[in-house]
Amino acid sequence: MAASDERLAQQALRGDPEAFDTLVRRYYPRVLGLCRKLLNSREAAHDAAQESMLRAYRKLHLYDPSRRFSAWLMTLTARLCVSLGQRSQREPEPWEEVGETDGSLPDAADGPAEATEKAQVAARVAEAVRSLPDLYKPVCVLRHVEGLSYQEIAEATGLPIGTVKVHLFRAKKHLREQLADLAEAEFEE
Amino acid sequence: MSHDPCDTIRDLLPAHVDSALDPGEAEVVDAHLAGCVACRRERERWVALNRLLDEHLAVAEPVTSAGVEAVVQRVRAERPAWRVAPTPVRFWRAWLPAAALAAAALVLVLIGGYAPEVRLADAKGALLDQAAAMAQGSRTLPQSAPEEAVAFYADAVEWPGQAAAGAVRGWDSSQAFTQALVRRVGLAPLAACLLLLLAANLMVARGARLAPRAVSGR
Repeated sequence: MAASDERLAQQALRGDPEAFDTLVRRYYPRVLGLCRKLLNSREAAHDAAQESMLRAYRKLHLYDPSRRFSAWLMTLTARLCVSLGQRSQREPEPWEEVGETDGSLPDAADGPAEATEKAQVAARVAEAVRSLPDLYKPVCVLRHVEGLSYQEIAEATGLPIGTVKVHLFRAKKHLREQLADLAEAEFEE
Repeated sequence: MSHDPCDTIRDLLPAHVDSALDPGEAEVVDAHLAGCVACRRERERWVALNRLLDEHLAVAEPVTSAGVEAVVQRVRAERPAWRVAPTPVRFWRAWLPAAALAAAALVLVLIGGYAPEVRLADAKGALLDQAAAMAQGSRTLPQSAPEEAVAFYADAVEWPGQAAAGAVRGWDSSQAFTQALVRRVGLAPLAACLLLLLAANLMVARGARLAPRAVSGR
């Protein structure tokens, strides 16, 4: 049976050189996927994902093993992406061509038309999330990427639960405005 | 002005969909939804948005195993601060600061506490010399009985508190004070105190230059 993330983190802290390697292999694709949702270019996303894993290793002694490792890692990644986004003052670069935008592998069951449509929807969702105010990005990611409850988000970010509620409410209102047509289509289904 | 209850309920719907309302609030919303078709449809729209976000946001990026291994190697090359072993504390490094602090405190106590006593003893000695000289019929007072010391002793008998407060200020030179202190306390304890203070200073200066030792491995 595979060791839990939390156990691996503790083993890494005790000096086991293989333990953190396992965590990197387990989480790097997800971290990269998140970076690509939050940053404007593929190159910046790759750099941010690597930096995120490095930071996680450097700050591993600050991780509380009673909490979910994935939530801690994704919070760290989201915050890094926000700070990198703030640092680059340049205009958002146009996203890659549809079909490469999301980077997710099309479902084998989907035909070419469905795969393209799915990629287009994913690109719109990513664009909407990137357009969120920086303050709301980490909580939104923890809710919809990690599936954390509001209480868990408060514990992961150190924010009061009331603040988490307000941030998520505003983030969702913003996203609903940005994705009105897609949300309506989803609703009609 | 009447307030539409649907407005209040709709503000709570995003959190209601996420099961994040307090039980009391959730009860109110549930009761309203049971009788309001429009708000039920509005809630379904929030559910649809959640579905959209959950499905398209939580997607891992396809990465080749070579790409992942490159990141593993980069992380392996890291040497974070928490993997750096603390410098072992030697015995002398552990007790010397405490000893130095004690020495400093001792010097202060000696200066503050003994100074009046030393000065009074000096004045008393001078008076005794003077009395002895007078008893022997000498008309010339000995050099060791300056008028200032006699006056100090007389004041000290009458106002001991005031004399003690002015004792430290009253020394005409630091050399005179040191000599009096050495006479009273002894050279060896004073020298030990000063050496301890010097050693503590040197240790702090050296400690600031010491680099932490890294642990072998990654």
